[in-house]
Amino acid sequence: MTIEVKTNLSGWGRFRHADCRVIEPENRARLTTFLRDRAASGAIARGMGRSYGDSSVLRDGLVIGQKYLNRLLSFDSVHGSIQCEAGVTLEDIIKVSLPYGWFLPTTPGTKYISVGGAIAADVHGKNHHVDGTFGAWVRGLTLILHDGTILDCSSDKNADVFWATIGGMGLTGFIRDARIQLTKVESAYYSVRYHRCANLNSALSLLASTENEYKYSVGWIDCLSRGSGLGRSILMLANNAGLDDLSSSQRNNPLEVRASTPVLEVPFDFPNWVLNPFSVSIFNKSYYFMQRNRQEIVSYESFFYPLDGVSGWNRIYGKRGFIQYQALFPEKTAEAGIRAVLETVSSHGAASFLAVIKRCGEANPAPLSYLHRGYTIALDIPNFGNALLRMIKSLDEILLRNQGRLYLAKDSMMDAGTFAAMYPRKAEFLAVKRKVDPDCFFRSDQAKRVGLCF
Amino acid sequence: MKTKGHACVILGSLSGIAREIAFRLAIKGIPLVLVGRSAEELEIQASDLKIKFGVPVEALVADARDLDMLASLPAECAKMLNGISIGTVILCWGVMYSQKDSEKDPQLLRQNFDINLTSAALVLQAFANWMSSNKKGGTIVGISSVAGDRGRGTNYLYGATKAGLSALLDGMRHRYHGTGLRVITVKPGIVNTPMARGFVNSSSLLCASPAQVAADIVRSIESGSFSIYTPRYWKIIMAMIRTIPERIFLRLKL
Repeated sequence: MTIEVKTNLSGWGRFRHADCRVIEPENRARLTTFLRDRAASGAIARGMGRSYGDSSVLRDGLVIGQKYLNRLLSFDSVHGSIQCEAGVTLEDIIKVSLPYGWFLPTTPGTKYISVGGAIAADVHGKNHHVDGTFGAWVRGLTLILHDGTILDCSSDKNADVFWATIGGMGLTGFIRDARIQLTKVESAYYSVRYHRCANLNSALSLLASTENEYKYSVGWIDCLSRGSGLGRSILMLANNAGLDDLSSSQRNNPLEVRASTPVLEVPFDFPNWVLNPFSVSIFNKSYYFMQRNRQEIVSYESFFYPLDGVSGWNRIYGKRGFIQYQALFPEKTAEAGIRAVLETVSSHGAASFLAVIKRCGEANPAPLSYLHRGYTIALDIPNFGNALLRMIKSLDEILLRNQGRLYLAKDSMMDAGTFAAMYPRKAEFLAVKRKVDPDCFFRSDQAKRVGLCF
Repeated sequence: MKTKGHACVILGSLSGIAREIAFRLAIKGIPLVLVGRSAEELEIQASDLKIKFGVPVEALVADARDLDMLASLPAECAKMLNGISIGTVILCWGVMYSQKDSEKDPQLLRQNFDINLTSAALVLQAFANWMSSNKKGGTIVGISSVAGDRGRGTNYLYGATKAGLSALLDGMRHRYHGTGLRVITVKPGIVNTPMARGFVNSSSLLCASPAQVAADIVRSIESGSFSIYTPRYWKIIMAMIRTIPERIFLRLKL
């Protein structure tokens, strides 16, 4: 018997909360039986809850937790192929694979996400322009459908369901397990070049001109800076460090897995006034001017996961929570689009000390996949009240005018009309969903809001 | 760990507390035999532990309700271990069927006792016989419960099985004292596991995590404890509950 427990859930931004009925199946048989016998009220899987909005929240519906479905099934240390249940986290994979010289082919800014979440949100990292998204490295996955049927999928078996599930936000079925191809690495370190760019133009041109030189690239933008300094940023351009690049102490343990205990912990919600335009602009200015142009060898932990060292960092935004707005622009409209977004955000005084820009490469076949060639900018925006919705609407208009689009894994507020305009392959996705989930059993509050339900 | 070089048999390895115990033992490099009902789940649990910790892990399918088979369990485990001797046995299987349902359904009522007490007595005695005849010593651990310390109206059927199990373990400890075979009685309070789901409010102060309880159990094996409450504050709570005069206790809604 699988028992439901009423729990109040939200996304990482803690922007909206909803009471959901959480079940935590102890094993796959319980889950399959549960799905076969369940009453029709809708369900969504939830991994580590790191999506920013309501992608894994379903008001008054069922939320399927991964607490016990988080085991490694096989690992081939010679070929770098790992098979695991969807509740396994990226951290679990690193711990097992790095000592053998294998690392995640691409990773977002936190390792505390589940493999199921990584696939459902088709996550990306600093190397999208070279290696694509996480979904590109999935060699196969097993879904449990709404009625308990088990479906194996890959790019040559049930390929339509496979690609609909990648980036499909859990709406095709419950991802039971997946096989991932990892990437060989010589060391756990990265050779990083830090470069200060005085404005948006110089940041974009540096990202473009170094595209073939650096596998990893990302820019931190001071999004409160205006005028000629609009878009001033610190760019981090990196490649994997070979053994020869390492210091002698690093060479003693080149594949060292870092301890995962956080350095800092945010023990309570900061008062809402802590992050305000004044305090954040001071922080941004100081951070920008403090960064010297330099080259450094840093561990994977510092390069990919700096925020993982601050446990509960979302609490810095206070009880009101925050949203993340992540916009993708194609190359030809990127400069104008990003400029307009930054101007709008700073004119509203929407303080954000985390604004990041990345270069993106080719899209993958998934119908709901987010990235294609261009640039993506991601901003954390504190929930500063009713004016927030108005600002988001004006940002949405900027995107629509410039062929830009938003990322579902970050979204909290997009409406159905905006989503339909941004994702022309929506109908293709829904056709596959109708095939494997004809009653729309798998749904989330976000899916209902953006029009991915029927 | 005192039983270095020897394996540990976990009876009911898929249970909430047992999973955590299995991790902690595997990290220490202790070979394991996982015993449970589902072949598929045991395979997955074994793979997970082998990949993460590189220890030998065997899986054996057995059902506590199959009382006649239990006496042969030690020999079957030993066969899988192929030469490595059994150093520790930890009994983790158990059920807590709803008191209300068990009152009405005699079959269900009986299952509480068959699984929690009768099977425990049969399997633990079988292992005690096996381990003492091998003369290598070892440790037997049984997970009982604070519910066995005093019968109370809202949960006395489960409580009775655990009262019996506690007495069994305490008595075994006495019987085998000095022979090199140690027996530990473990009494957890309220633990946030699938068995307790819905029964307890997992965010309440008195609710422990399976990880905490597993850590206490592994520590008790290493330090040679006789009988432990986990978390430790239950010792005080139960001491108080045991001393409440019956006349007063009868008026309490417990």
